[in-house]
Amino acid sequence: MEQKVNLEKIELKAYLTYHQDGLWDIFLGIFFLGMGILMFFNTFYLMGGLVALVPVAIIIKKSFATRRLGYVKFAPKRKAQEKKSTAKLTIILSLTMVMGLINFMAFSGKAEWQTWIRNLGIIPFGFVLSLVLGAVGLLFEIKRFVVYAGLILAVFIAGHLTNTYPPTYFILPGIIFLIVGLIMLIRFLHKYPRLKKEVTGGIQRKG
Amino acid sequence: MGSNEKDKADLQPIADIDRVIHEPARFMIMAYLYVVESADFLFLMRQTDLTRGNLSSHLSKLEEAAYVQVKKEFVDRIPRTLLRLTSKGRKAFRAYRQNMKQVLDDLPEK
Repeated sequence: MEQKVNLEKIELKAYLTYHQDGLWDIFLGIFFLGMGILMFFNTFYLMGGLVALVPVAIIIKKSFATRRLGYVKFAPKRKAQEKKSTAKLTIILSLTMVMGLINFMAFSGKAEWQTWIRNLGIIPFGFVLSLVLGAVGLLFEIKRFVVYAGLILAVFIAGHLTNTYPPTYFILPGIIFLIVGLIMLIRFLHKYPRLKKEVTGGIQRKG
Repeated sequence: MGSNEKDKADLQPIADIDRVIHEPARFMIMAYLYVVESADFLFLMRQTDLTRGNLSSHLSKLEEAAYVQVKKEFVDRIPRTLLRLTSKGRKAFRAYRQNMKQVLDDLPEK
């Protein structure tokens, strides 16, 4: 076996272990399912409630992974990279908000561009969602999120072309994310069971 | 310089290899601690797949060599052993890497 010891890869592997618990996928699945259900009951305006779940998800995620994988303080290079990625994501989120606003404006007017956007149905919304998810995947090196972004875009386009019932656009990816997340979570729990306090305590001293 | 002395000089990089680091488990521990700022015992256990006893004994050796600094603390009443490479440890790891590179690069292909 000819394999070089690559220190950067070791660091990346350690970083990625913290994203293998499937919790982000489960939260994403719940978010999409929630959106689909809200749409189904025509209560889309309650979407803010789903957004409020994000800080809760972050807290759960943080304590869950650390308890099973241990605590690590990554090198300043990684921290700087994360800060940079967060800044880039903020810019992308701001851009998507502008896009969302333009999309919203398209629903009340008869200008040519407004009609053109209206004809696209819910596709622009899917584009915005996939843009955010794709950005998260690329910036934070979680490759499966890029695949999710592609899936969302594909479902929205296919749904629009086949005139599918709109809540399905959210429910279908939501179920997929939830299943992937649950499988990952089961594997993670099996691979990293919670250890007793005396085990996590560390070095045994002689004498 | 006689041929005997020259042979000795040629073999010097091999003789200089740091035996504390040259053990696979300790090398793994050093590599992980080298790429992060600090980590706890559980993190190393998970990443290296070493058992508690094994990891504990290797860490003790690294601590004895002053390559690793061990700090015990409690977080939410849970004991945590925080580990980090000392500057001596970082220097030793870099030197080991350099030394190994030199030794292996100087070997003929066949």
